[in-house]
Amino acid sequence: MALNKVDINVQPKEEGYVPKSKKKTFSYIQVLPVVSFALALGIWWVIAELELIRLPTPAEVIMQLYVMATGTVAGQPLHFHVYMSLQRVLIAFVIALAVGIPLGTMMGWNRRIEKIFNPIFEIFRPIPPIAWVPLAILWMGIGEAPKIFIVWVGCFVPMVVNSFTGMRYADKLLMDASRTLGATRSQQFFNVALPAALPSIFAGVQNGLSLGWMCVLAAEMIAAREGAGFLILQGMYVRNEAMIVSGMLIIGLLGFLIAIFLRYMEKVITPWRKEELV
Amino acid sequence: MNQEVSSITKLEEYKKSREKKVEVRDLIKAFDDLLVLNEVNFDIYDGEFLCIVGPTGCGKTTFLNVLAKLLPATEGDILIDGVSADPKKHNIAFVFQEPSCIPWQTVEQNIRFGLEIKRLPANEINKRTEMVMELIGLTRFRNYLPKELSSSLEQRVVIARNFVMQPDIMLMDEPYGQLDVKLRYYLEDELIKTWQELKPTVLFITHNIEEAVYMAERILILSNKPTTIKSEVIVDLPRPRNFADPSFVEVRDHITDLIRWW
Amino acid sequence: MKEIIKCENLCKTFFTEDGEEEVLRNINLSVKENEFLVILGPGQCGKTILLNIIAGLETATSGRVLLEGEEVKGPSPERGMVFQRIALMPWKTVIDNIELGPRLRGVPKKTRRKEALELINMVGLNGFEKAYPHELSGGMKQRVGIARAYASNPKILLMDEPFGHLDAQTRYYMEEEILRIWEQDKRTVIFVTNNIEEAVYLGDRVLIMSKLPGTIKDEHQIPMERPRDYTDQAFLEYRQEISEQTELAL
Repeated sequence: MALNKVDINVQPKEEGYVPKSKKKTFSYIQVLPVVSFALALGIWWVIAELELIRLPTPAEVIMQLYVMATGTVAGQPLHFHVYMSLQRVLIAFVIALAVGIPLGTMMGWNRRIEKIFNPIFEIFRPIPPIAWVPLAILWMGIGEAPKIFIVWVGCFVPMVVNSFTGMRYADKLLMDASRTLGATRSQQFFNVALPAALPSIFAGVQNGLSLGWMCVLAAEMIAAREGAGFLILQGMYVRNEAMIVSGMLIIGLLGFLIAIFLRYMEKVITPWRKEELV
Repeated sequence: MNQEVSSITKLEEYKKSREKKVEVRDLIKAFDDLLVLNEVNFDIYDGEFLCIVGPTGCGKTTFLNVLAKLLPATEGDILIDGVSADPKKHNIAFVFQEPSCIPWQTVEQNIRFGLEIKRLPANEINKRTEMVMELIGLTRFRNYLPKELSSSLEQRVVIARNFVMQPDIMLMDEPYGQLDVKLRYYLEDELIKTWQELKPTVLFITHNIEEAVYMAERILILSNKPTTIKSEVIVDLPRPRNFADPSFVEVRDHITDLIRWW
Repeated sequence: MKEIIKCENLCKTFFTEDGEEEVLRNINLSVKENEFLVILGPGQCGKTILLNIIAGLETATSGRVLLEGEEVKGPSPERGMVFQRIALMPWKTVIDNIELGPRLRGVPKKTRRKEALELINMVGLNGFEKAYPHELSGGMKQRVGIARAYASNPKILLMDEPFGHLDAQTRYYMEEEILRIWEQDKRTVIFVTNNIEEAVYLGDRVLIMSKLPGTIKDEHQIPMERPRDYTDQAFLEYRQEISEQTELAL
């Protein structure tokens, strides 16, 4: 029997509709973000000019960024600092992935493993990465290792948590369906549970990377001589407020770019996710 | 041919004997250049139980949403009592497919809610609430919370809540969709009984042709997209109706033939 | 006629903190080969749990289920299942979903691809092999579910209200489709539903379940020829009769 067109969940392109009267619909809503941004900038400028608190003006910050970009800070060009921070985060991120996702998924899949690791994990979970700085210095000195460790702590927790919930709350119906098809326990894990948990796991990866990036400043408080966080600290030492704000802006901008990249990756890795509302 | 002539006269007699409550004039709804509703024209009469049926995917929900003023019409107008329909002035009740009770209020509180917002006098609220609860068999559930009720009971609370407002028009979007057939007939009987008692104007949308024939005084049949009114049928069978009755079957078959896409 | 499934004194009780809930009581039934058996019951009557026990997804508190004389001990592709909610893997295409069972059992790629394409043709989804579930309508998704169950060459098909979430008209369409598919080899089917019209349209035999605790109240043979006519007088009489025996679950 031929498939009737109405059965398909795609709207057929009907004869185009031409409205009798062309009403121009200008939406003020679209302008709002621009207005609010300009307003914020203006308020910043006023506060800085009037010296109500010690704050560099936007102009001073831009000047400072230019100087840093074209010159060096502590003997290194700006892009080197950015590169060092990114490197630390990348290494920490990869280690967190390798440890956190297997741990989280296994805890979600197997009750015994959950009971073993969960209590320990729950105790460490609320401790913020920055609290680990003293111990990190004690154990690993003041080289790259402790910095990477701090960022790792930031990345690790969300990855475990999200992998766990993704696994634990994977749709039981899909599991049942695979069982009726004869899937063994390990087949269920790899063929059903893991893909079903993937959106959640990836959310953990996103959160982990963002959080890890935010730990860069804390990490680079450990005797760093380069890095995006170091720029802020340097600004503090030499009492250059414009440098402090510049460093903050750089960290913010990079964090924003990372988030965009991750959102794009989400579409690539889990293309089915958004439409799954039917 | 004779049957057609007699049904046209039946239609005319029906319309002449009734007062218009809602008028839909040249209603057009388009999403960008996708035309969904195409010059829909019809009237709803005061106190009428009107059903609308149509093939799958014919824009029924869009139609209801525009009627309830939840979506703006692209062109055309909807008049209630001769005046352009306005949710602030007019009382448009809407029963959705999923129950929509307020979870932190009891059954009784849910039913009273709309009346209290309109600040009706307390004894009027009490009177109406008691009557509707009695009609819909909810009196013994009055202190239950929605989460303690089955979904069919919840839906009845929503319907009660709407009836009690004595709305200008009551729009119902397949409220009994997911329930089993026996329960459906029971609830449909209850709905008709309540309607006969309170006589609001009801517009009931459904995919289920048998349901429409069971309940409606008049049935409008929608076409495929771009949607228009394809046909109109008067159902003048006596109540209570029986799905096995030959005249019932005749009406049902007639409408099925008009819609059948499968 | 070979007996495919036999349920002996099945009972199921749920033990919770609030107490015991008896869901199934003394279910005895048997299904012959090539039979289209319908189990009909009101909203909450344990019929889904009964089907799950036959499928092996749940265990009975007492009693047993036999498949061709052997006791059932868990799910198996021999008892293929079509679920009420869509149970397709959303990250897999239609054809990959259908091939899932054979793939898990190690059937070589060429063979299973060929069989899957035949099944796609059987359920009328030609052209949609590479589509994802979210791109399909409700009726189409269920067809994939049916094809998937068939792919494991089951001895019996268990269908749990597969058309329950479809609108009335798509439902009629799917009821015709399922019979068309079934007529090809008359695979034994247990079909669970709460819709009396559907039961009379589809079944060779209809078992009527009571409200909780669920028992088999009654049995009707429907010897009418297929395809049946919903508004035919004989059909309506069966409907009327069965309707009087089903219980109202408020």
